[in-house]
Amino acid sequence: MRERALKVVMVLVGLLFVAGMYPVVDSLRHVNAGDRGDMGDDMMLSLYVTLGVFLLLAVRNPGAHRSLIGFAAWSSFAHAIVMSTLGFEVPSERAGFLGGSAVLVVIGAVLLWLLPGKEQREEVAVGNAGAKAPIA
Amino acid sequence: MRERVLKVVMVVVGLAFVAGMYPLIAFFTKEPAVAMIMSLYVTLGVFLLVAARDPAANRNLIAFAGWANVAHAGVMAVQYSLHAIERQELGGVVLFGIVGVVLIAMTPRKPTRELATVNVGAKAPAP
Repeated sequence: MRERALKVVMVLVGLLFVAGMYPVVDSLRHVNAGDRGDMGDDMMLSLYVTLGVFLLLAVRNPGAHRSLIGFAAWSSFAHAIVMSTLGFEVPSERAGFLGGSAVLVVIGAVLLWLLPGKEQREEVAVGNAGAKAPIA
Repeated sequence: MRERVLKVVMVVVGLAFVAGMYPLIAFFTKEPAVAMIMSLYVTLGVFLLVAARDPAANRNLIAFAGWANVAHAGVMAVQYSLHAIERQELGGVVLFGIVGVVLIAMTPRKPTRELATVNVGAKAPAP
């Protein structure tokens, strides 16, 4: 049950991150020479799109990808800390920064909460060796 | 030997990413996007340093680090071709590209678990 919930969350977060492809492509299609605009955001989103693809690939066996899921969670916290601090430094962008931080904190907390324990990973690894999928 | 080289690469790249804490603080309000990107790289650096103890168990993280760098370099290269970033940032394209390609090339192959599963019950080949 817990693993199924993790898989659902990983698919949702993965798809959300992959959807970051749209603003990147849109921004690059409408870029004007010399206008830096959202260039930094595009670079950042390229990391999230890649992470989204890897989360979607890891859904098949979350227990074998603890470090990747852990990274997705802790990087969300790190990003949220920076964003929420920026929210107080840049008043004009406060709502956007704080809203984004809240989303990232929720993603990080849920992923960490559902992250399989080390023992569970070993059980999964042992259990899967040569085992057939259980009949639903 | 290959694993030892990978460990060295992971430690060097991990430390370089953790050093991203400096631009994170230096460009905090001037370039918010740089600070946010660096928050991801610093976290990735810490994870790479921890994963260097057992690269084979963290192959997906290493592959992610590689492909993320290639993606970052790719986006920067497109931005440069559109004249959206300055020439001096080309160094970043090359650096991220090299780090990405090296990590992808050195990512350990899939664990032998699957091979072991296939080999269960198989007889040893005749000499």
